[in-house]
Amino acid sequence: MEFQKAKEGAALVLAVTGRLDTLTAPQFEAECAACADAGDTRIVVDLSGLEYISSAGLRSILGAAKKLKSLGGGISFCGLSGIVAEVFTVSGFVKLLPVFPTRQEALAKA
Amino acid sequence: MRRGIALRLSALVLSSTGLVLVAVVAVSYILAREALLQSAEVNARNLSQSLVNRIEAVLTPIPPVVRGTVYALEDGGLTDEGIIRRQRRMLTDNDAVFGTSVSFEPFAHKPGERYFASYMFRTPLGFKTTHLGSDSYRYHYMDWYQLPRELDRLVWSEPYYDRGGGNVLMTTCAMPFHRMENGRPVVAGVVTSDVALEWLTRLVAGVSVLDTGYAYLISQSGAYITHPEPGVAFNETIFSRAEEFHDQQLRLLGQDMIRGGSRFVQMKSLHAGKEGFLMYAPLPSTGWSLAVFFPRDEMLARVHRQAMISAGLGGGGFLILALIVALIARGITRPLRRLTAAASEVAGGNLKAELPTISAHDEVGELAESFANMQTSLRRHIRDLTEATASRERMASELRIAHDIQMGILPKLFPPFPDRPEIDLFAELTPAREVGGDFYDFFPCGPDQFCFLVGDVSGKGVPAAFYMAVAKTLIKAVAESAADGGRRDTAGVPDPGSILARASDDLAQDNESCMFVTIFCAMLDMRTGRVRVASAGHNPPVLLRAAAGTAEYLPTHGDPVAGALPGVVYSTDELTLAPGDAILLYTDGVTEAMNPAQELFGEERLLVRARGLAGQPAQRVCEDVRAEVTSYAAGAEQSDDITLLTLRYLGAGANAGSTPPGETNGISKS
Amino acid sequence: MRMNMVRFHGWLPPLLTALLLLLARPGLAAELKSAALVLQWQPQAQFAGFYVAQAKGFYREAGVDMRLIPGGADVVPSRLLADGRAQFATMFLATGLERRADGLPVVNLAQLVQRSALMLVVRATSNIKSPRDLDGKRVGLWDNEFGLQPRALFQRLGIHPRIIPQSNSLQLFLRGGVDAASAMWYNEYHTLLASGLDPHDLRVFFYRDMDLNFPEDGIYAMEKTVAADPAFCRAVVSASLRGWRYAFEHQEEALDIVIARMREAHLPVSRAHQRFMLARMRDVMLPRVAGDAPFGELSRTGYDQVSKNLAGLGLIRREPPFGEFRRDFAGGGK
Repeated sequence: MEFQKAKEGAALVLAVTGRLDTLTAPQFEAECAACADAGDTRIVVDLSGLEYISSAGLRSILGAAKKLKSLGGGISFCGLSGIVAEVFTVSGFVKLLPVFPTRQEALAKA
Repeated sequence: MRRGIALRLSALVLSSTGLVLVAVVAVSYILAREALLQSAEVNARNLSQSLVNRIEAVLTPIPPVVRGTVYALEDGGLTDEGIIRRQRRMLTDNDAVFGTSVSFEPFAHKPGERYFASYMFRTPLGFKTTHLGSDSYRYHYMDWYQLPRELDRLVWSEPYYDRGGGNVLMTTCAMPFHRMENGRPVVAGVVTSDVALEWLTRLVAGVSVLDTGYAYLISQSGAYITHPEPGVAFNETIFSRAEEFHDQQLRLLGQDMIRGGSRFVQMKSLHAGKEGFLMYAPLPSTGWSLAVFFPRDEMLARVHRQAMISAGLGGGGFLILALIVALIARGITRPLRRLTAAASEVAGGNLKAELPTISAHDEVGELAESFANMQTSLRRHIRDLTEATASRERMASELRIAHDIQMGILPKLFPPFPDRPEIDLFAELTPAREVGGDFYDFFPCGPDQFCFLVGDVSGKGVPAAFYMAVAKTLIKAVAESAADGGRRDTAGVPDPGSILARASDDLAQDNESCMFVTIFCAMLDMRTGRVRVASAGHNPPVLLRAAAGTAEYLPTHGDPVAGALPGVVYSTDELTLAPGDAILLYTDGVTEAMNPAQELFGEERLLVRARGLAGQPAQRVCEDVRAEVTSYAAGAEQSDDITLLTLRYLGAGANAGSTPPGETNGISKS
Repeated sequence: MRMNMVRFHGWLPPLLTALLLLLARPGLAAELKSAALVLQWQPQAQFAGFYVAQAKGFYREAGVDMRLIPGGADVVPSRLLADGRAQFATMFLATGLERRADGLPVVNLAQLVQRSALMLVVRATSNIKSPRDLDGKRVGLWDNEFGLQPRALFQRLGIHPRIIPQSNSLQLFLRGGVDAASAMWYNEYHTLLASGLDPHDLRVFFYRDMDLNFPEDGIYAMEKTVAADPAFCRAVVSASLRGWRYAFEHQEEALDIVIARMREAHLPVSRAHQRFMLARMRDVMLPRVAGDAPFGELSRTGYDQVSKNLAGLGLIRREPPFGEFRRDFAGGGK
């Protein structure tokens, strides 16, 4: 799994590529925590490069969201497609967390 | 005694060095010896020639003096006084002459006088004259007279001890003089000149050749004139000595010597008793021969000494070298020996054995360092191994615990409710190696309602198992409390959506680990086949229509997972099952099962398979799907629990088996 | 005193033995009868037997207090016999015969040298192949008894060599001053060898091989000495012969004895020379083939050989009767 960070205004865009599963979930959570520790509590996660997400991945997203929310920030997602979008849909995460079709839309609401 | 590296190294170095040393000393010795022996002959010739020259310097002037008197006698015929004057001059002019005689043939000097020989010789008081010849001293038959007379030439006599002249060693140089008789020269007498040879014996005896070398003189008939060994001179000849000692070489040498030969030969000296070289050369005037013996060992003494010195130096150096080599070898091998000892201890199991400290920055130092590293790594490795073993055991035990929890709380008795012929239910859960947190449950909820559900806790292991246990218990509690809450009418039948909402809220509280669970919960009205369903983020179940032989996914609302956040609302849908229809619940372990190529089993494949199973008994459905998944995985490791639950509605009037439904289901009656 | 010294030099055990004998038989010393024996020449192995007999005490044992008088240029044995300075003498047979013929009543008590050792030596390279070739050549000859055989030979052969009186050295021959030299086999011949000449360098003519075998050394005494005490003469002869036998059987010991005497006399000593001499003495003294005269005995043949030649040379006018001239003290006690 790889991360690419880009500061877009007040928000940080974290582009995630690869698979987010049991093995990589801690990395994602750690990456978000690092961003938060660096002061970037408003994060837009671009999942357009994500190939797969497991329940452990969902759990790490949930953890990151809770943490950022507790810090007064927030996390939003964009660029979901394929199986990732399906997992988000099936698991109801689209209802739990702010999900946007595009990065621009996410940044606009961030 | 072990033959260690130090010993072998030392032996090798020292033996080769020793060989080289010996070779060098030996070769230089041989070369020096050859050089010396080559120069020895030259030196010997020079020495003997200088001796010969010194002797000749004395002897050579004698014959002219004698000859002068002879000529005077032949020319003028000297008077007695003239003879005396002549003799006096000979003695005066030549210190080497001890005495001189002018001796006549019988009756040649004066008729009637058989003997006439005027002899003048030196005495401490001056010259003295005497007349020789009597019947007891018949000089005409003596060598000194007879030899020159018969040979008619100048001769040197054999050396002799003169008894009359003070017993001194003498030789006589004698020459005949003539007078004319009938026109022919006839011998009239002999002129002699005696030469004392004490100086000669002293000279030759005084020749010092090294330590035991010596010189000697032999006459022309081989008699020793001087010889360093007492009792040899004037007793023996070189030939009688050769005979006495059976020394044929000496005899041959003697023959060459008296023939006037001059050679430098190797021989063994009888006198010195050792090997050496003999240089001999003739004294031309007398025909005597001078010989000088050079002892070989003494000639070579200097070479020997040099060889001894170089051997000594070499030997000393060798010893020092031996010491150094031994020290170096020990220096090298001592750490090795200590390392060896330490290694033996380590090999014996004592990983904490103290290693020798080696400061040298060489191979041994590196070896010691590597050895220390090895020891450290070994220790760490052993520790890691111990820890890993413990951790694996703990993990294994955790897995077992989680598995036990999971399997312990799942109902496993099928058919679960034999007294309810309306339902045909089968469920199976194949846990992954690490428990995935799947669960299923089913239970009657009031007299006619039957609740069944499948859940999947996010995460694995013991936490997931606990969370699963909590979720399952919570749902059942919520469902049953709702049922007990008296809402038994149609509207009061427990609503899966609200059950999930309640359970989700409870789960979301104090959920620090952010675990959540997907649940599909269904409530069947066994009387009508009406089913109310709600999904908390769970995979859509498959609906199998027996009559149509179709399979389809039940649409869901995309309601979120349970336990993630509080306050989530779940909607409830309704559908009706005709007898024979079935609902297949499953977890993502089915659709996300992977083949070795890491391809997912997928929902489409499930649907296709399920379609063929419409109307089939619940167990058959489960087992066939399970078999399909297993076959698809083709040995790939199962990473998640695989859970299947099929409920087939057989209709309110259905009769399952021999047991009338109404008699056994006390709950439904109550 | 001189005798004691000799004994102490090497012959202490025999002396002790003699002393013991004297002690055991007191009065024996008083029985010793003094005598003097004069030898032809200075001490050398030619007289080994006499010196051995004296040194070993054989004379003493025989009751003789013997004094040996060495010969020399000035010593004429027959003269010493005549004037009584010596009771016994060694002489050539020819000398004895001549003296007897001259009127000196000497008698032969024993004949030691049976075969003549006198020879002529020429160089092998010379053209003198036989004695006849000596005609006109320079020949070194000794005079007196040594001149008898040559003169007899030359007379017989009818040759006239040029006689050169020969000194007591061989220098003249060695240096080529004479064509032939006289030599005694046991003495001068070896001197030539010891001067570097090899036997093959020399050609020798033994007189004994030319029908002139003059027996040489014999023991003589005046007739009156014999008449006065024949037993004493017999004792002297047998002790002398005993000395000779001992010398031949103990060659090195005999040489030691002789050489000691030579050193006393300040004579040049070559042991090799003396050894050769002793060996040759044995050759000329002991019988070698059947018919040879027994050891010590004068044979009639030898006597006739000499006397006939002496008469032939005109040196003696009449031959003394063999029986008068010879007293056999050497034989079996006749």
